[in-house]
Amino acid sequence: MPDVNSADVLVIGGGVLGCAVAERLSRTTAKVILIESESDVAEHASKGNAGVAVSYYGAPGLQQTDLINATNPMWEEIAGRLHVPYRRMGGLMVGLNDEQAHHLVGTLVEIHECGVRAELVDPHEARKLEPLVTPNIVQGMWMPDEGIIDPLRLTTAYASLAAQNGVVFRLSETVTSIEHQTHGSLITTNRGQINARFIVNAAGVAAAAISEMAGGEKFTTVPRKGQYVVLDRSYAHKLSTIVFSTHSSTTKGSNVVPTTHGSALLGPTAQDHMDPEDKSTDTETIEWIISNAAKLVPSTIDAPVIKTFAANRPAGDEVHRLRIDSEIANLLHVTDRSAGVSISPAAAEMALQLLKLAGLDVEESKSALSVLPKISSLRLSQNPEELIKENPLYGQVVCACEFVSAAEIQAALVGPVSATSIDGVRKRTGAGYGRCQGSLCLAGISFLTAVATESGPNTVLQTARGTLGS
Amino acid sequence: MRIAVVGAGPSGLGCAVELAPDHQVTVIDRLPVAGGETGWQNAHIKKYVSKAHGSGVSFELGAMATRWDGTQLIAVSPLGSQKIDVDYLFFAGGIRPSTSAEIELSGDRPAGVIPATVALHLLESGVALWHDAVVIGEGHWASEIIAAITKQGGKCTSVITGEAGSDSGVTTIENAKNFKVFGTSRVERFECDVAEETLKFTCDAVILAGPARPNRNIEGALIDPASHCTFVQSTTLVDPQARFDFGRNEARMWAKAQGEIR
Repeated sequence: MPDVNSADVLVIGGGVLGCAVAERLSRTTAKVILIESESDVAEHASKGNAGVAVSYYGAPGLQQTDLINATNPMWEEIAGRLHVPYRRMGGLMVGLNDEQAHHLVGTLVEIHECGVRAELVDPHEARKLEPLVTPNIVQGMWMPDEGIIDPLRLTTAYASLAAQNGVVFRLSETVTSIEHQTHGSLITTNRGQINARFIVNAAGVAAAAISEMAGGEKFTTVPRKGQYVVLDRSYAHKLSTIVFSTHSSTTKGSNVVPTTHGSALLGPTAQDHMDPEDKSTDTETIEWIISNAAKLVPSTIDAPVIKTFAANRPAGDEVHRLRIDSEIANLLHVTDRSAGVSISPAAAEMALQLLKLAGLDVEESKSALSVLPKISSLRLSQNPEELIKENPLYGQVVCACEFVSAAEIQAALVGPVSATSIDGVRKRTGAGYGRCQGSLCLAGISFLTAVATESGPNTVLQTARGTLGS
Repeated sequence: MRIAVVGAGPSGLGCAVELAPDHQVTVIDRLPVAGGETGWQNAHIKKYVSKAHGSGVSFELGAMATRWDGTQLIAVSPLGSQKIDVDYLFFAGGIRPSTSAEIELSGDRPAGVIPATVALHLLESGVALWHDAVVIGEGHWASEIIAAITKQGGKCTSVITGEAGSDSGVTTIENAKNFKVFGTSRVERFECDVAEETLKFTCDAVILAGPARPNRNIEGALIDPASHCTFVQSTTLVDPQARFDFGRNEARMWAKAQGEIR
């Protein structure tokens, strides 16, 4: 039995950055525990984002920019290693008037200073790249290294590989106090105590609270709500690229983003507010997103909307924070407002290097896995016969919109850091992502989930927090 | 012509019976029995099935049609995958209630917002889901849910966008719009606007029983509905005989358009 109450590194937060750091550390000799306050990893901002693996986000010279640059060329390798859907499809930034066209020229200079590929394209070329883009386009900018990724699968894949390499995941566990001792810290949670030599603060919107608890730097984290609209595949398959609105000085704007599942996202908005629990959508904002998207891609206005959702990204006084705390020598902050997915592998590598500089004496592990065992997808399979022969459950289609089989659902329910809710199954397999939003398959998924989680059909979790029955 | 009919509910059986005299028809359904949502024990279904058998329709039951490319249908089952070569596809994959997005339900995303079809399925299995539910929508799913709740003795409020045609036996809010749901883990509250007033209800479930929409669930047919494929999914007819007649009529109209008036 491993001693789960002490660790070289305690990672606080099971979002994309926490899981990426845990995965990187899992390939060393470090003993790692990750705690997450929700009942599953990949909640909050890591669940509710657009799934863009950006090539450019901010100014040249910033650490965030360096991490994006270090990550971008690696995506195919990472996606292959972790079996995460990824496509380097390119993005088109759209200038709709002279002012925006002028702004794009400035953005291009900045992008080139970042060392990222981009070029201005005239309206004719822009419409060749994305035939659905508005005829009102005045100036376009083509960014070939923008990509789309499944951010949920990325996060759960990091977690799964980390767990297979021995990282202990403790879910539904909340930090209540942090006390510093001679050799590390004593972290008290709602469920027990953990001795850790180092603490990684990857708590997203709760990062400021964790820092304060640890006696570290005082900073503020402000939930910045982003609302999104999901369009059905019957429309979304017609899109060829990501279509970005021109950045303004205050916002990166609301975009049209194809997803790796074949749907498309419109959004996000950016609303700073006080309550990190507020993930509500409102009709007015949803209508704004839809009308704004139509300015970029007019045909989106008639596209079937299958879902709306919102999440909070961790905004605040610093957009990106990846460094050892200035007060507490064993506390490493790893947070990023909007580029968490896009920096995750390089940020994890850097986190390891910073921990080593701070005294974490570990070596690369010789036995750790670096490739996640693949779970085939019925929908993407060219040879379903083969899959079914291997496992007849592949022939049992549960989600009829996305063609997710019972085999895939079972795999999501029994693997390391497995799904604990119906929503957890959706995050890992895509079951329920489709146009019917579960009206056909939710009962079946609830039974499979109830059996795997040893709960009943009414006590089974529908979301990370709430049960299907009352 | 070789024709595949996906869906062995009343509409699909109607298509099959109509087409069988002139074509080689195969009916495919994901369930191991014919009947779809109407159920295999339904007297109408039994009649349609024997009619279909009598006119030479063949059945592939317990197989899910997953892909259509205009000439070939892929169907999978735990026994394997089949490639069915046909010239034309009738898709009678049934209907479902509107989703949260389709009825423009805003607010939080708590657990306890449940599609009526799922709720009915679970209720039939004896799973108690709520104490106090809001049922959004009118039509057969809403009536069935309200009947089930009334029978179980739970509390229920019916919220509809129009005016009530008949007494459902429970509190009914008419002419409601702007639906909102609240709750951090599970549904705690529901709000809607009637005229200029916002009504608030404490509840622990919201059941989506809004207007019927088609299930469309074959990969190629979804992406290219014009490719040798007719969708046979009435969103208004409920009665099995009406759906059967609808299926027959759709098939007849297609045949007519093919220049094959009998």
